[in-house]
Amino acid sequence: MGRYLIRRSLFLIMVVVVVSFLTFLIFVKLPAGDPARRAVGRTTTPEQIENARKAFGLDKPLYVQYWRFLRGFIPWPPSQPLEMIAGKPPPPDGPWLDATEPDGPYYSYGNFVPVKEEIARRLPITGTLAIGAAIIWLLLGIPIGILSGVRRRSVADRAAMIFAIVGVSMPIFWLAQLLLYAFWFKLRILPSSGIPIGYEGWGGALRAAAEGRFILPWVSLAYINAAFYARMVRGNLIETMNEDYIRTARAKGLSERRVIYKHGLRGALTPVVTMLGLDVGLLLGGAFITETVFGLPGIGQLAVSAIGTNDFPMVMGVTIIGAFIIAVANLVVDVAYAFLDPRVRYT
Amino acid sequence: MKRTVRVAAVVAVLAIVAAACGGGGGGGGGSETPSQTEDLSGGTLRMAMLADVTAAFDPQKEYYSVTWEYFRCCLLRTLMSYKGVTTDEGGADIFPDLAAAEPTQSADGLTWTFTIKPGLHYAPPKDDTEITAQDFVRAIERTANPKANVGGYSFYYSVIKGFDDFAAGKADSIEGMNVVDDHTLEITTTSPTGDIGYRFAMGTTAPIPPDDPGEAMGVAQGHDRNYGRFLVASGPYMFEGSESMDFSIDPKDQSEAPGYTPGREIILVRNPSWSADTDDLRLAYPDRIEVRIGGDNDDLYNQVAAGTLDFVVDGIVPPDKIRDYQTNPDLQNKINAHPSDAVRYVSFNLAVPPFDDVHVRKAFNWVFDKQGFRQLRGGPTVGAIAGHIFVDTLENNILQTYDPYATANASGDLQKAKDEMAQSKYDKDKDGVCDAPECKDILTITDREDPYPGQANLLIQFLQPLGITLDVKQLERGTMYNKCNDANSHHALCAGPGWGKDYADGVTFGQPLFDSSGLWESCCNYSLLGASSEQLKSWGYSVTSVPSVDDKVAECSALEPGDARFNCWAELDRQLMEDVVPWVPYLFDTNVDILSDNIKHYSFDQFAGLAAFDQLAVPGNTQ
Amino acid sequence: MSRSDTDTDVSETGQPEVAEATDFEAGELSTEAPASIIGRSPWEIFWRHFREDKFAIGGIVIIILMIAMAILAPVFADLSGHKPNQVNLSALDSFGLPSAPTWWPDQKDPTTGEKIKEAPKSYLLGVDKTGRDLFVRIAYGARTSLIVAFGATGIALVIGVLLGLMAGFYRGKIDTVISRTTDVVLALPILLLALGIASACNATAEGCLGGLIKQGLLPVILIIGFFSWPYISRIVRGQVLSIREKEFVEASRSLGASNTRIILREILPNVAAPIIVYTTLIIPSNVLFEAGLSFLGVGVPDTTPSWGGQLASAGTAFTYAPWLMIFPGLALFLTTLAFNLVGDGLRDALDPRKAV
Repeated sequence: MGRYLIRRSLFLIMVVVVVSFLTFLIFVKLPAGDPARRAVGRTTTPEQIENARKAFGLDKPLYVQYWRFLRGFIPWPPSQPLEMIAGKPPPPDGPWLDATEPDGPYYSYGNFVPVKEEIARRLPITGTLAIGAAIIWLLLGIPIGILSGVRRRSVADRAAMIFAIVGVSMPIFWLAQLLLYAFWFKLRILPSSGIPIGYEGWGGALRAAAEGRFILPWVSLAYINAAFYARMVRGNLIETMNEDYIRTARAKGLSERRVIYKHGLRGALTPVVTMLGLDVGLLLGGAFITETVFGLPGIGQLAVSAIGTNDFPMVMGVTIIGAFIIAVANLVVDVAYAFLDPRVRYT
Repeated sequence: MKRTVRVAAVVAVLAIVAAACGGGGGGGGGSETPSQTEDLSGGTLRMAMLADVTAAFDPQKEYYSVTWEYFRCCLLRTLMSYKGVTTDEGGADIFPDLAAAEPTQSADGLTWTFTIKPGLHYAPPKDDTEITAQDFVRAIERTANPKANVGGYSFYYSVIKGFDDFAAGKADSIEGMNVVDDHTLEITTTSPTGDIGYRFAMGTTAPIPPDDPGEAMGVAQGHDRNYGRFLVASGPYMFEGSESMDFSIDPKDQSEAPGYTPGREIILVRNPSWSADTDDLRLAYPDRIEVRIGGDNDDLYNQVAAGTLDFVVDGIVPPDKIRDYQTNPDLQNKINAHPSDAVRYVSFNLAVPPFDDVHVRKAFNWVFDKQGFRQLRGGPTVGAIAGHIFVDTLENNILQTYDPYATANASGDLQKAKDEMAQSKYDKDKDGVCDAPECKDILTITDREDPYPGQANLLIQFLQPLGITLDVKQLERGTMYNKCNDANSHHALCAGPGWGKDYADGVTFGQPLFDSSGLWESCCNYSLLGASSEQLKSWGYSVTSVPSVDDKVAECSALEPGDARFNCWAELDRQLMEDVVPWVPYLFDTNVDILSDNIKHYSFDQFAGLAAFDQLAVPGNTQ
Repeated sequence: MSRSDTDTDVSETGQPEVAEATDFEAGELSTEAPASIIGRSPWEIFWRHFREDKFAIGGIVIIILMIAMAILAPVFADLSGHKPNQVNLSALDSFGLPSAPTWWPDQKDPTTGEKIKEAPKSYLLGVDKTGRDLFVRIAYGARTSLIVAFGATGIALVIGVLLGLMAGFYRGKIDTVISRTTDVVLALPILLLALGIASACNATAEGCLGGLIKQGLLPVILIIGFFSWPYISRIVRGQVLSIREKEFVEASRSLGASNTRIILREILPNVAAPIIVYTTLIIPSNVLFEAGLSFLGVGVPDTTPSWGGQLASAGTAFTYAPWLMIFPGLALFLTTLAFNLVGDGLRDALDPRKAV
């Protein structure tokens, strides 16, 4: 078990490193034009561009640039974390105009708030959205998949599979808009999109949830994923039920029910757990779009608007921290997987 | 100053009205005229802003009309200031604010003497400090400090003697700022500057209180980059919790005023040091102003309609809301539209072919469908068709009916455009259609928010019969402005900008937009008028000369305010429209606001082009 | 973003199957040899199953319709007289708001009580916020969606098959490297990086890679292709792993065939069928991927009609112009659904044991 965990952890660390390097490439190196000029943005003077160049270390070799970029996210060693402010007017306590010794955390140049702080502030919203939706779709998708798999070709199965294939084909942003149109605009039974300011932290997020502000977002996100899981569980179950050991169990005289629940499900569900791990990445993607359509001030909306305003520090921060969260979630899932399927521990 | 007599009369009337009404009612215009017995003060005004201010309220850096309104209405008093009403009600005129009276002018016209009202104090934590003449010197010195004035408008103060030397570090004080005594200030200029009063009605000249004696910058010492977070107010409001600021400790350890959280909220509370007795210009109705930053434009206006929000500061009212509020009789008194003294335009880069040929530029003006542009923006409510560049108030309405490229229904005239194009060197066969490769794929920069993409499509459509095709790049607004301003970007057309006056004088259009002092890296001469051939070469252009209007701008800037000056700016406007043709102006902007049911009084501040925040009365908003 | 559910299924190729025997009633024996025991090739069997799947056939019909609409888009533009980017101001009301299609149920504006303006009849589906013909734009949007989906899938196919073949066939170090890379790419936060790349390449005037790639369809196709190849390479690798052990491969090798020959002549034809199936299942998720990127504003530019982009601008307009949201969304949904149905049908036909 230990070796397995170490292996998985190393893999995930590698993924985060790759993501950070790709992010660095994408935002600093990929676009044509001068990164310093691009980063500095609106009202620029040549002096400001030059200072941004120094802050980014653009006159230094590539590996130095990458290292400086990375330092902003690594809390240790504690001596001078990199400051990468590149905004039109300088942020509070930002010495980058001098750019002699950089210090201080990343600042978004949209509003001078440290990137880490902004992400931490928005985490409860995205978390509530993701976790709530995940609970719904697991509670919805898996039973539907099992029901379908067990009662193949029945009316229930057909209905469930229609539900599923519609869900898989539905663009999430269209579904969100349709739901908003129907339930908020026409029927007026649910509150308007968005969360008023003042709902801070997890308490605020839960309060908003209690007021029903998350219902439509949850449904949008959950329906589509529930459809995926229903199809997958069903498919896995059917495949598992064809396996030899199921036939053996039946031959042993076990009731069909026992065969399914004790033996069949186990084989059918382990891929689900893997899926969950992979899914966190996609879940984040769906969350981005859901937050944008419903105006929820979460990390997704932050990323989308930061990209829209070319707010480099913010986008880079979200990408890397997002990758980190995904990696951690994957690790948790891997541990769960190892418990479910002992064979894995020894590979 | 010419306006003295009018000013005094209006002030007198105001005082009588105010006395009669006992502090409530009257004052500003707007569609709500409350009964005189109703007390409008009190309550909490809940506003929303889509974007934060641009420089965290640093007065020397903020060149943004929204912040200017916060300064004028609420946070900072200046020597002269405005009343926060429309032009017709005197909103473009300045009145003494911290000055006791209009300044007196020396015989040679170069020295102005201001007397400062005695006994006025700053907001906490400096409530024991009186506002004195030295505090204004401090503000001007900070305006000259290159570390502190980034993004600001220090160029308006070069006219003060010794300002540029101080800014360059060649002197350790500004010769032209002379403190005679605590309540008398002498300002000497290098040339006659009739609009000096206007320049001292702007936030960058607001007094900065002293701290330790000997600290040159007073409370701003050590805060070159972010004094806005430590702002000491002189107006009717201050940031909540300002009293907790402690200027006695090292600047690095000082904590900011808690009332402003960048990117999130602004909370203003009443300044206990301010008294309405000393201030004729501000009504300060709300007890508390809460501003939430961020959100979605349309969603915020929905909240206003629902009454959960009172006002949106910097949004654009969506066309469907405009339609609703204009056509529904119950809502018609909740929508306010006022000309904001701004013009919307498409600018040419005269160093990029084919726009180096005046005939092409004129043809462009002829074919332009201004009505269509306006319709896509929301229809007649959003503004008046612009036939010339300078907004009419800057020319005293001299050119109100002047439209050299007028067409039927302002929709453009293709035939006239073709006739003009046929005279261009880019139309070899003289058929009115440009056949040169320079007319193809012209790099056009525009905003990517509605309605600009739609307008760009329209532009493509009506230019096509002239043989002109566009390569349109849609950019985020700030990036767009930056690219349009950057001479190195080699864009040919800038299709998204607007420009509003800084104060009611034509120099605020003429200088930054068309004079060579507004060229890159300064602001905002996108057409490159007045660029020298060395400059053009250094930016990589093959065109070697462009027209210049520097002489005319200088001529007009030197004139005393009055008819001569108005006429001069009008002449420049004509010259630009008919001979130089750097732009197609298409709209004189109207600022549209919708109000929640809670707002019982509204006044439009002509100076900032926005509603006067302190006059939005919400007496019922008590929670 | 969506994903296909291809990564859990690593099925084997269909076994040669005996054609349907006639049903036997319990307890009844026939003395006749069933006449219908004829050997059929796997392809024929495959087609038979597929033909019977009504949903899959329905999907094919829809796809054909969409392709037809895409091809005929300029024809629609000519017939109606409106080009896809043509602004018609008379179809907007005086406030600049779009007018409804003529057949739209008469609606009163909720606030004013007046009838919503109707567009001229030639606008089958009304106009959008800048006065452009919605139907023509939806037809051109089909082009965008199909070109991007097929293009991206094509790229994913080429890369995925190449890498999958190499990993499965050569095994060892090559396999390790390729498989690790596949794992890492699969683990990347796709949307974040895609957004980043797309905004870098699509949202700036200069483009990216030193100006090599400019705004337009190409960056979108490349990005989506780059993020989809791992699914295919995984499938291919699994297939190749199982096939390479089979006797006919060994036979070929013992005859002295080179590796390349074996790959091309023995292995590739046998993995072709599942490759096709899983590729078809990737297409719908690529359609949605492109639509999602366009929705967020980093996909194709506004002058290239895209269903996702149309939905983005419809989002704020549905209170007064719901047709802007309904029709592009419907087109997107039906196209994706069609591909999913076809993909499901293909997969079920491929392995009848797992079929419904």
